[in-house]
Amino acid sequence: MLRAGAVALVLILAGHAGHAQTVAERGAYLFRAGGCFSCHTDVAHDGAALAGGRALATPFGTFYAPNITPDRETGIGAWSAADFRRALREGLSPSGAHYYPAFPYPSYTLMSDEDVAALWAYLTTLPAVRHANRPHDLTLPFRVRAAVGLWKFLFFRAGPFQPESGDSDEVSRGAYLVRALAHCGECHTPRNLLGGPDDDRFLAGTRDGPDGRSVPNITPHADTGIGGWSEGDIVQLLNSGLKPNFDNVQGSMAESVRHGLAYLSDDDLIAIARYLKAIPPIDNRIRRGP
Amino acid sequence: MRIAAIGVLSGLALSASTLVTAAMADVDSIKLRRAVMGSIATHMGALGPVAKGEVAMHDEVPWHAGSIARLSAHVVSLFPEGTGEGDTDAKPEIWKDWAKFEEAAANFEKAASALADAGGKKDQAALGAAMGEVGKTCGACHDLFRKPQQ
Repeated sequence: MLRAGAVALVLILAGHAGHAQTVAERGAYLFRAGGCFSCHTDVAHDGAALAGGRALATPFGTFYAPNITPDRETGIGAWSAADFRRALREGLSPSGAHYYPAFPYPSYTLMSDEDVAALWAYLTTLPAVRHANRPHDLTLPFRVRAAVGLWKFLFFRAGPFQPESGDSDEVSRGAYLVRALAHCGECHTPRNLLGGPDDDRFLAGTRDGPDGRSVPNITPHADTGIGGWSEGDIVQLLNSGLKPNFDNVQGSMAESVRHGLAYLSDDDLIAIARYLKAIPPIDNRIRRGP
Repeated sequence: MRIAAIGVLSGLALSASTLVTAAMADVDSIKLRRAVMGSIATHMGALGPVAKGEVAMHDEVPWHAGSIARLSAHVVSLFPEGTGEGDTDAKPEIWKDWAKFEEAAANFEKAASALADAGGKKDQAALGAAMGEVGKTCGACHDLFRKPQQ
């Protein structure tokens, strides 16, 4: 009790002293917003944080997220800040190889230079874990890494994010969080046969999501999307994983909430909700009818 | 309109649930289960805006909360052995670990009973807290025993 009081006092004093957030602290927040933890950690097998290994089953094969701890041999400890920036902005490894877009750089490319630098600053503070990467297990033709170059030519557009003119600061912030960091579209936007996102159906959901599961339509369409949800409903889902009927979300969205979105500030979650209410509603029924 | 639909649904669920003890084809058990679960979800959805403070406390709240409590008592009976196949999200773990399933259902029943109390008092803060607790018990059971839905 006394101790809790002392801690609270220290926090208050720190607040009064105008404690400036360090770059790494900002990066820690962006790390949560970016959902890095849940793919790069094999939670199901008690894997070390960010040491890789989580399997992501897709229609194109199974991907195993790599080790992103600062281990020099098996992680990204030998990388420079420029290497990291190139990975996020261009989807290229330090040796110039194309990354598969299972690594959501088509979204992360939209991050601001400042945010990329802050995220890098944070990652360098983490403990290094020695854990070798597991190779992806892919179907042809996706096994041919050079094919990713063609994929990028067709579908990848490098960032950073540009706000839409006419959007309020709040909606722009929501757009940035949804499109760049939280990379919602990577699962919620349907893909064509080549795995390219169908931008005309942005966030309209798909029956062929990761791990063979369907992913709901989160556009504000009244019947098939979340048009009936209030801003409070969206915020509640993102910070607690509870749907408007207080049932919980499951699968990869539950992971995204638990390890990422639940850490975001109310202001940011409200910004996301306002943005999701502002995007075009798309009629695309994913759930089976009643 | 919405209230009427809820009434029909839950009426259907309740009257049908009395038939569970009679031998029923699996397909009917599954339909019934879906109807009851759907009714619970609909009542929860009706309480949600009040629990979140988006809508003022109103006279239907005790009725919705009480309905959830009454329906919660039927959950275990909705899962007779041999109803894990077909158009259902029920996982086989239910029947492999029946004691754990019963425990999860009992937790829900207890939380739903507290929800009925809070709703009966028409106390917004208590309702919000009780809804959170019920939500946890829904999730705890669904995580273990329901195929993932998103």
